[in-house]
Amino acid sequence: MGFFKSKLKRFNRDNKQKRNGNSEHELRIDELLHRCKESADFVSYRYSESSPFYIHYYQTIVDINILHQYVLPYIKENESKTLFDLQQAIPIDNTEIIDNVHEIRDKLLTGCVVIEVKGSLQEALVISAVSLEKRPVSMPEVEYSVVGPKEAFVESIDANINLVRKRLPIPDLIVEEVKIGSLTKTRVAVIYIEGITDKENVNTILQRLNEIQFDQIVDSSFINQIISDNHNSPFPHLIDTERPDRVASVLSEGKITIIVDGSPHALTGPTTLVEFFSAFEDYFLSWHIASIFRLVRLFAVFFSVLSTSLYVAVLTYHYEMIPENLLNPLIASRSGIPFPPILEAIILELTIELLREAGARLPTKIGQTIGIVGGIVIGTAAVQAGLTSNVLLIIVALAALASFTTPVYQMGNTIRLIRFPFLITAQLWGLLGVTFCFSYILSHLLKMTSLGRPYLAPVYPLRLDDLRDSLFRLPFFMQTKRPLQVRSPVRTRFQPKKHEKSKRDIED
Amino acid sequence: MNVKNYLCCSLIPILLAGCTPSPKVLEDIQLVQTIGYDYVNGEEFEGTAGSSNIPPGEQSLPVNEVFTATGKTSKRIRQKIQAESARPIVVGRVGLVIFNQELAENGIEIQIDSLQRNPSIGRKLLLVVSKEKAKDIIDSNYSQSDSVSQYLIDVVEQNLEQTIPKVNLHRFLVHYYSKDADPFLPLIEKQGKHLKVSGLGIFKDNKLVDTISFGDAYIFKILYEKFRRGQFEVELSGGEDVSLENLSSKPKIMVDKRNGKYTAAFKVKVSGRAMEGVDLDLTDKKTIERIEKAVEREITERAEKMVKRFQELNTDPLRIGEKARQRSDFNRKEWKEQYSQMEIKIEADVNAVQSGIIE
Repeated sequence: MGFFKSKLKRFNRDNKQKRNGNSEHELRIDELLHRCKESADFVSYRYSESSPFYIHYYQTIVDINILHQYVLPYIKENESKTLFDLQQAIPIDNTEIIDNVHEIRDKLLTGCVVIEVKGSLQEALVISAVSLEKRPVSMPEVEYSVVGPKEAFVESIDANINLVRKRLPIPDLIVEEVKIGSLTKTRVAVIYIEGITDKENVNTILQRLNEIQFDQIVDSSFINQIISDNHNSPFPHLIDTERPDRVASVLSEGKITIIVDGSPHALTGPTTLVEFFSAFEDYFLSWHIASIFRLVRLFAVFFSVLSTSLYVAVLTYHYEMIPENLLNPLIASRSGIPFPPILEAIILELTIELLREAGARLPTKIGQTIGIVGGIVIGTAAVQAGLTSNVLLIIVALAALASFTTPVYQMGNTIRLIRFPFLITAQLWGLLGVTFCFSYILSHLLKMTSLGRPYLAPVYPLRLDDLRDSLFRLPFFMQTKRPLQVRSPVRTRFQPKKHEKSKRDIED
Repeated sequence: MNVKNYLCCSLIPILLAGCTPSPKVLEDIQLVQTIGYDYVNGEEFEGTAGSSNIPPGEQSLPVNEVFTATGKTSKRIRQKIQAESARPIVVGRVGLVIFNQELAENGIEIQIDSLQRNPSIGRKLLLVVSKEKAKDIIDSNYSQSDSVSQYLIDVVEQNLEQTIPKVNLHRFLVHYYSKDADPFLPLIEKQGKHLKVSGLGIFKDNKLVDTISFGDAYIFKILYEKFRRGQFEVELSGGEDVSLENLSSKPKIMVDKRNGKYTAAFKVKVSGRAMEGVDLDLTDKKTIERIEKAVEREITERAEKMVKRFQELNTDPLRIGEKARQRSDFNRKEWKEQYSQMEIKIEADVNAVQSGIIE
């Protein structure tokens, strides 16, 4: 059934392309040039009166030096009259004589110089002279790490693939490229290691990418949202990372990476929920430390999601639960406040969100001021004015702090969001409501898949082998197998040598 | 299918809207922390609720607030108290219930029943019998700066760990409803600016029949439950005082039935550290042996006396009956008949393990 479906789809696609081709077949080279000339940055001239060659290019995307040094002198010297002779003479590789106008158009628009002979109807010499603006490779800002590599992806797809390939110098590293976006024609590269990656995963991604009908793909997050398994889920389905080292690492685990031109973030998948809470820095630290940090982060997530709602639930319904010693300070801090706990909590949570939003939208230097204004001025003033209790202020501030510990920014946003349903149900039904909301989210997570693979693995379905690198990270010598999650055809990463208690010195 | 799901999800909150519990926001309720019951006459009794108001502010100290009312049932009393209070009264945090001795002698059935039926009252609730009026204990000032209720709870709780057998509402009810055991409660009294635990009140069914002293309560604890970190003092034959510290003890009750006659025996294993022997050479083995003997004799004598008294009153707070019931040939009628005359042996095995730091 599936086979027929895919056949049908391919058939449809081919048909569509043919149709498009037919409709545009009438386009002639002079028409194309005429249309291009409407842009101010399009240059089109005849080199000299005696020369038969017409030169056309967009001056904004062409490296003018290449034209001046390697093209124009040879047109001048060469007395030949044909494009073929000129192609032979020009010392640049990747020159082509193309007779398809559509191809010529595409090349022209991606930074090639087109040379045409007067009189030739559908033929042109295309010389690549691309000049693309890009910033140099810089430090990672979102996923900063103290130790380890300090490279981050940039907005150029070629530079990004370069960063990955230099870490995986094997011919099995396959880059498949598709163009998506009817206007942006964005280059999207799907990278995987042949033999290690499950072909089904690759096909899933390629199929989903090919089915995208969208006019603009500006960033990889567009792709992330469009190809996600469940569009209504607040949880991200693929990890976006700006670290080439992380990409190289997950590729060798058998996962797939999508790099989008113009985006400094690569997407990796299939992924699991726990992977969002593992920073790549974990692998640079010794395994005990990394494991503890991961557990701390997991605790922070729970704390961040549940703390304010528990405060509301306990203060509104479950006065019996409060520890004896906490009772007096709690009542003392609450008794002057004119709002019920839920309003107090929502006001404070919104204040923190406002501060965060304001800090994120403003330049860094002003952002710091916002932090001080918000944290110190608003916080203390609100308590002194008797608008909020200082206990809740501490809880909310800690919860906000805890939500920042999530290494993947997208997940941090999700955690910010799902606190609010908890708050509301806590007010409605107390602890029962919190439990209800938690079960709801848990069942959502249980049903969720990333590229068709279970999202809550290795906890559910329980995969003991995968647990070695999930909630905690065991030492490298125990990580002999690739995660079951990715269904790698070669599960063994390396042949485990018998672990030696003490390392040997050089024997003499 | 999906539409159905959405419909269900949106209907559930609407249908359950009436089921939401009524909010009790922490600062808008009057938390009662201690309850006291006093005797008025055969029908009515007086209830006192000890609570505290905490004024706003970071370093504010709780202000004691006491409500008193008289009535035939606790619910009626609660109603009357509610009429006096500015905020709704809730009993979910009651930690201590005080029964006046006079009331206890007349039976505490009504009060216990209302306590154990109330779902918002925890089973770790402490119950005590007081020599004075419960109202006077709750409505007074103590030297501690903490709230009065909290102070009372702390005093009783601390003593339950160290000096008197552990008892809370749950354990009390186990004894209370058991056909083969009788309950007991700690006895408290006020002494100047302090509250003092002064022994145990022994019940027969729901009535207080006897009180035992603080020292005997300790022997009671040794016979009743396993515990650690106790302290015991004894006078040797030569007149020297020695104390055993860090005492740990483990009792064992054995009930035997021969020819239709029940006999019971307590075997108590006590071990501790001999300390504070003023003129004694605690390194000497003979001295240690002498101490052990003396402690054994002391425990046995006092325990036998106490058990005899229980038998005379026909009450069984040490739950010997519960142990007898475990026998397959147990006959409750025979047991009840024989209990007050049966032979109960006490055997103490004392081991002084250490003698502290020497030289």
